[in-house]
Formats: sequence, C-alpha cells, structure tokens
Amino acid sequence: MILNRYYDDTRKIRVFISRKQRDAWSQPVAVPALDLPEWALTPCLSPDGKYLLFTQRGVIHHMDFDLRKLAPSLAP
Amino acid sequence: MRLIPLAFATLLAAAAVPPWASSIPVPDPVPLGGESMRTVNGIAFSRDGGVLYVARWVEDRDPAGRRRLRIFELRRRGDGWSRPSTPSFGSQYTDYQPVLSPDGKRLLFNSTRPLPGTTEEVRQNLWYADRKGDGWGPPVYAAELNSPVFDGYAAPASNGNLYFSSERPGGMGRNDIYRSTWKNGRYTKPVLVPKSAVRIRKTMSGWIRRTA
Repeated sequence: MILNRYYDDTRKIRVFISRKQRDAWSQPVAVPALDLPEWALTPCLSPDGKYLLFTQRGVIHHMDFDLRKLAPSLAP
Repeated sequence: MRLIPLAFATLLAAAAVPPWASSIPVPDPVPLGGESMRTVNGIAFSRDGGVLYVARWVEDRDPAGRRRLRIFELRRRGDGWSRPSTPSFGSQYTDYQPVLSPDGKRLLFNSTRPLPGTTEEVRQNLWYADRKGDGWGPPVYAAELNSPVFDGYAAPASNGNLYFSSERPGGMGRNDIYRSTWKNGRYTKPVLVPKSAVRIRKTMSGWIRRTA
C-alpha cells in the first residue's frame, strides 16, 4: 500500500509504503527518495505494478517501483 | 513492399507500450508526458495505458466559494492525448480522486453530490461506476462504505476488497484507513486497518495491487 501522510504539526506530506506480511500490514515505512523539494502527492502504482506514479506541482511523474531502493526494509 | 508491413508492425508495437513503461531509476523521477499531463489527485490509467482519468480544478465554485474539482477522461492519440472530456458519471458537484480497480472494470471516486433521492450537496462520499461496453454504467452510491463524515480515497485490491480513508469515529487519527471486503456482490461493513495511522493525524490511501 502506498500512501501520503500529512503531519498536522509540521504541515508536511510524505510518502509511505506498507507491505502485507502474512495477514497483517506492516508499519508504514517512509520513502526518503520521495522527500522532494516539491511534495510527491497522490502516489500510486501503474496498472502493471512496475512503476510508481505521483505528482509534483500537479504534473504526473513516474519512476521504477524499486522497493529495494525505495524502502529496503520492506524488500523481499 | 516488405518494408511497409514491417513499419506498420513497428508503429503498432510502439502504440501498445504504456506511457509509463520506460525505466526511470530511483531517485530521479521524470514527468510522464510533459507539463500538460496534470492532475490535482487521482492518476487512473487503463490497463493498456490508452485512457487516463484525472481530477482538475474548474471555474465552478461550491457554496463556500471554493473552486470545484472535476474528473476528466483523456485518450491516448499517437504521441499525445485527446482534449479532456467529462465522463458519463460526472456531476455538477465536486468529483475527484478517480481510481481504477486492478482489472479496470470499476472506477471509484470521491464526490460531494447529493445522496440518492436527495438534493442537498454533502461532504465527500465514495461513489463508483462499473464498466459497461465501451463506456461506464450509472454512478453508484457506495452506501455500505460511507458515513456522515468524510469518506474517500479508494484503493481497490484485485480480489474486490477496498481500502479507503475515513474520518469516522473509532480510529487512531483524523483520517484512518478502513477495509471493506467484497462478498456476494456487495461491500461489507468497513473495519479499521490496524497500525494505519499510529501517531499520524491524517492518512490518505494509495493503490493496492494484490491483497486480501
């Protein structure tokens, strides 16, 4: 599961990834690679699950969904 | 003469490659199709990448004076995209965050449109439309999923289950993630997903590929 979290205190938005392990979702892990000067918003996967899609300043961006680099602790 | 069918086959192959399918190594994302490929929220591609649903600001304003968001459909045309058009399930109210199910047969979205049988605009609820032929069936109010407060940001799994964000009481934060299972052709009562919002006040759900 890929999600945005908004922090009320700092008013920042970050991207997190949670992975289903057995029957439970892991604690969401922050994705430092997406702590960009322009917030990465509305994150999702491409329909084939291979690419990460999100917006910066409203423009759709894409990048490999490389879990080893995005959230190493969740990689298989 | 032999070159013509070859060239044609090459063109067809190029058209079949989804627009996102070129390797862009982490951590250097690139715009998918230039500055004109914009959305406020929701990036809903069809499985073949030929159709994209987005949400964009329009000039219309809601009763509080805020600009409305609406959902638009774009179709891939060669190297570019068609002009945005309003899909059949659109409304005069605020509609946004379009999300397609992994099989592409259901499009879920957030909407402030009045509940069925009423005329008053409401806070955001989850609605959906199911694929019908080349278009979409009528918009459906997801009664089992919604509450009197904010519900939205659908993340459908390939088994039909749905994760979404809700402000209903009983969670850990302001917006928590709930799950509803798809059983016997309908959504079941949503349950809170543990750990989804520990210490965090607001969570917006994303996209789930395969899960239970």
